[in-house]
Amino acid sequence: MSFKFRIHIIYGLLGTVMGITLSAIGFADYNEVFKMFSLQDGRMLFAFALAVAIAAIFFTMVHFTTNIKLEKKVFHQGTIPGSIIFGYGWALCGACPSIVFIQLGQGKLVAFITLFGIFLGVRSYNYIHARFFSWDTGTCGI
Amino acid sequence: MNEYLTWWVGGIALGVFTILFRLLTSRTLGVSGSWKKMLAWREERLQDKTATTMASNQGDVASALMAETLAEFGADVLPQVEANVPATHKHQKIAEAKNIPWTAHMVFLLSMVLGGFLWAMFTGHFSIQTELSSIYNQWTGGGLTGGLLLLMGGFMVGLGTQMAGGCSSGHGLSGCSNLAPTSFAATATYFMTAVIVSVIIKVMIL
Repeated sequence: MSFKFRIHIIYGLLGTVMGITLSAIGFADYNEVFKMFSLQDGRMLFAFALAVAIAAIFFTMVHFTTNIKLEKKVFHQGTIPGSIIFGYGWALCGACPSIVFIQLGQGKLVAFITLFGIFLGVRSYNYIHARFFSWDTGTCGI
Repeated sequence: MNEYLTWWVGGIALGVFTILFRLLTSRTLGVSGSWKKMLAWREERLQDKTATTMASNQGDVASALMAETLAEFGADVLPQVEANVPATHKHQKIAEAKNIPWTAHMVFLLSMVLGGFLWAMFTGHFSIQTELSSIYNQWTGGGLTGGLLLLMGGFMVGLGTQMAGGCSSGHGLSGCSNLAPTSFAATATYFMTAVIVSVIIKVMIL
């Protein structure tokens, strides 16, 4: 199997597993997301924190025992303002960039509007960034 | 209330998934990065073409670099460069790019639709709905206002994640579990913003 073929299969499987996992936790349900953000229900917040803790223990152990090191993320002028805009948007539409696809899979057709919004947002940011900003956004470490 | 996983079961599942992603792809999980790559397919095609051309013309590239070096610094620097370059870097070839192609990112994003569908089918949650949820309709009134707010929220999510360099997966899951200070700052910021907005909605409108 060529590298190209294999990587498509792997990404497809991982996306499917991610869709099932996030669905099962409830991240694709606006009611659950709203209850988390309005501090009525800590269930998903605890799940998220536990996931980070488990992965952190693993990555730290790997960091000290093998040559796979911890990833570094670039801090730049856009990190905080971008996060504020993202948090505001997430509270409004209840979807982050992966959740919108999962909502579609569950049959929520209005997620097409959110999807179009995200598409416009990514597109216009790339334009704005190339035109006005010179900082380096190493987005999601790819 | 019991239709979703208990917090610790969900946490373990998501944590294991984050680790699995890293092990299988040698890359950290990041969905907004996949969005970026998917929408930048033209740039990627151009880069691949350039890389392939350069890799198949090693001699030409080396000559061109040498000519530029001579024009800029003169022949005097050559012994100095020769002395300072580590042995492992000599005779290194220009490699062809071996990035994750944008189509794989697209497959990743689209397969989440399948994931959501499979879960909904097996748990009996699947139904074609034109409304997001009861609470959403309660505070937006649904209809046109609800739609416009979704469009605006989506736009802010797209713009914000690209500007911040990560989303709930890139900064939240990957960044924080890699103990990156930037990601802790970003995650705290977007969570707090979302909490403030949601609490305001709850107090003022609901």
